Amino acid sequence: MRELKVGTLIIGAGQAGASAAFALREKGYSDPVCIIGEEALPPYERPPLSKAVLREEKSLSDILVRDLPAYDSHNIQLMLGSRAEQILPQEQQVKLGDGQVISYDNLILATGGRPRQLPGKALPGVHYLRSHGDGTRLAAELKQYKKLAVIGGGFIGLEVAASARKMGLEVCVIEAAPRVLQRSLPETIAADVVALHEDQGVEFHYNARLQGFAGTDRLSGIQLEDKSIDADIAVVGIGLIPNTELAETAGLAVDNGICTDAQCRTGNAHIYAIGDCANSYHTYYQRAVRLESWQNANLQGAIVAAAICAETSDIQNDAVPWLWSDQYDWSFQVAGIFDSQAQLISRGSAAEGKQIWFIHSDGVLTGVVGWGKGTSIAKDVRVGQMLLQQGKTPPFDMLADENISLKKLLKL
Amino acid sequence: MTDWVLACATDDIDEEDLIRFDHEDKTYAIYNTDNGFFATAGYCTHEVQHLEDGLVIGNVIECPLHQGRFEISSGKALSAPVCEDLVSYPVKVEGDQIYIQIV
Repeated sequence: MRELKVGTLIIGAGQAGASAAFALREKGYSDPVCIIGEEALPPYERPPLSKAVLREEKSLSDILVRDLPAYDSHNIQLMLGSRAEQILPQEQQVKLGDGQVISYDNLILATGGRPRQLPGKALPGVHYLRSHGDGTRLAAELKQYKKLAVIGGGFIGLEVAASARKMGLEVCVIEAAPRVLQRSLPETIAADVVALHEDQGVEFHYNARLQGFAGTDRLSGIQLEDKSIDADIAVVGIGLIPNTELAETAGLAVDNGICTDAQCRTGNAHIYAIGDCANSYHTYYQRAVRLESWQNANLQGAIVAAAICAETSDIQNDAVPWLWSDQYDWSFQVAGIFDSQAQLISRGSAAEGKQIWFIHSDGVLTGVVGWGKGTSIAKDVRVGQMLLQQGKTPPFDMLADENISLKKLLKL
Repeated sequence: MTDWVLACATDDIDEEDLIRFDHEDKTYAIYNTDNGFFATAGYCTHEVQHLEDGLVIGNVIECPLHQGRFEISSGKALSAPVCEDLVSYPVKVEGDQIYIQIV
């Protein structure tokens, strides 16, 4: 068995893993870098999976984090179709599924997560959406079948619903909570999103207690406690479970993700964790936060590279969280973290195609949400994110007044 | 063969902001910054997204889609996810008119 020794070994060939590898090279790191990925595909971006990939507007080559020649030119080794079986922290080694052993100076865990599954047996026609393969299989079936049930009214579920409506399917959303987006957005905002979906013909079922799937060879319907719904295809989007097993068996601390400090270090001086799998100390919130976002995957790639290069610069885990979601020709951008008790200040109106909400708790700005056509809300949300980052809460009447430039409020 | 093309008037662009300018089959972004007027290609080099809804801060334009950042005066890509520079174009101001030089 050949032996491999690398400077930095990255487990997980997703957005975070790839971003860390390139960030290391940009910082002048010259030791060997190797990325291990379970899938046979090079790192790709996941946000298009529920949108352009489903509608077959983008192929794999359109969504790669970097094109393949970039890995060669940056001297980054990709070991795809390989599974890391075990970390041997004392030996600073990782054992692969085929028995090969790789020694490392630094190990970055970018293991991501897997979709939370419903109990019961898998039935053809019931889909989960996480990988490119999931996306292309679902895309093929969306062309073939007519009635889609989306189980779970989160961002991914709603994006799939919008994509499927655009493709002409009948779509319903089945949600266990009294409303959609309960974990992510205040009720008023979720109501505007639902209104757009209802305009587009999507049906919503709330407080739904799922009893099971109907069908023997293939899905024919969804059984709820109080009704049955016809469906020949279903997509389940009920959350992500961070992949922490490797870390756990290596003795690293795990609590809703792999625990790290603000530079993405675990308790082991040679092991780091980034992206969806990491529950990292966030210096802005002064507590550990696990974020499942594209922004976080990119940022933590840069943070871990700085930590490995022993940069003493101020790069740390302090960025106000930011995410987006595209549905129909509308898009969301959300900055900050807020609770269900938070209060809203409204600016603009969805009826005019552009609505911004500033969210505050006890008079302190905690979040900004924009919902509008195209990228119309991007600038305002970005300025809002900067206000949050600077810890500023401008007067509420100024935030609400569309005639006052938000950018000027930054300089107050 | 290079052409100076009339793009807009100086007061068409707010301070520290940009506008979209379409000419023939191409689209551009024209900026008004503290350091003067500049012009770059209109689309972000990451995905096909026009920069017109992006935020200008000083000499930096940020893409409205994924917050990729470029230096306005040079078009240089500054931070992930963008890694390819924007093409930039020479600008001249005559009176209150802004011209860009399209190669």
